[in-house]
Amino acid sequence: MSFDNPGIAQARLAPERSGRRPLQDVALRRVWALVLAVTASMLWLAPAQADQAGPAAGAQPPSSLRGLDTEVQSLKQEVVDLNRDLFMLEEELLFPANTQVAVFVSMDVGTFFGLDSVKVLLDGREVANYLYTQREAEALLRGGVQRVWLGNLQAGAHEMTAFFTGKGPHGRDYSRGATMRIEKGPGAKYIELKISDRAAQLQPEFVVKEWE
Amino acid sequence: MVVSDFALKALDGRNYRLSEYRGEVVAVVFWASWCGPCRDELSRLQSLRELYADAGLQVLAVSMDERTDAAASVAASLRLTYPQLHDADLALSKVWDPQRLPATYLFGRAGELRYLQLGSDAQSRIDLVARVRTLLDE
Repeated sequence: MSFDNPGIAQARLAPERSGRRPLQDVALRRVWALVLAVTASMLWLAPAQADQAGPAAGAQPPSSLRGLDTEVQSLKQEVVDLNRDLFMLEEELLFPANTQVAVFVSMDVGTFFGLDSVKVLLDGREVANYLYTQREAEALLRGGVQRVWLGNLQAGAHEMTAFFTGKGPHGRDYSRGATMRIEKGPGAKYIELKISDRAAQLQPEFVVKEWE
Repeated sequence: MVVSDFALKALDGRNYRLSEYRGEVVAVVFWASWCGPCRDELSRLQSLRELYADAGLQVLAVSMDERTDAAASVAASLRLTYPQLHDADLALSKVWDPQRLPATYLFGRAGELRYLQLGSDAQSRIDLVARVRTLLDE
């Protein structure tokens, strides 16, 4: 058990069990092929290492072992790539484009606002409430973009409200809300909550922007 | 038992997220100002933190008090230097559901829960030190 949320992980994987698609079968076959390849490599490596265990074995590993090491590294890279592909596949299955809505948070400059939290409401229902650590806020200031919510919405008109809290000008507690109506069409909808500085008024500015 | 990642506001005004401490050994202790044995546990964790901070031990205390001033007063009297988080609406406590106080959750460097100690007695104190040592050596 780790502090990743196992409940969410299980819930997200559950639909895959109900009916696998060809792409998933290919991915699973690739996983098994990798597992078999790694196991075979390890079985081959064990006697090879035993042979080298005698006093004649020098500090330099034989070239066959170096080759094997390269192969193992390449297999590890393949596992990482495969993991990424599976993650993308999982998202495609759970959040198909015709219902997908993603909300992102970004910051530009940030002289007049220190971000503490963002709360997102869709049609009056809270869908995200995120508390930012210092490290996360700094990452946003350095140009990072955070996906604060990914979900499904049916086609039609919806209302989205975002509340930003933090420290405003002169270090005072600051809270602002921004509301917009969104029209969910057949394609995926991406919404950016952008925090920037309005230098002329020495105030932060909160912009809700739609990406098609 | 579910131990999910969390982010909470601390008494110093900063926000802390558990998963940011991956790579370190983390002790998360749930406590309340009305709990007598909790004070012993908090002091013991302060000593452990001072001993093993450089080796990678991090302590996060989660106060279940309704008001922050009660927790702040205890933390000040015990001279605690590690972050004092406040579970204001008990949202985290409802999920982690510590059955007794103090409840100390010990996580390994990979972020996995390795040990849970409920209450505080002489044997558990010895056990906790031994487990912290083991996790730090891994």
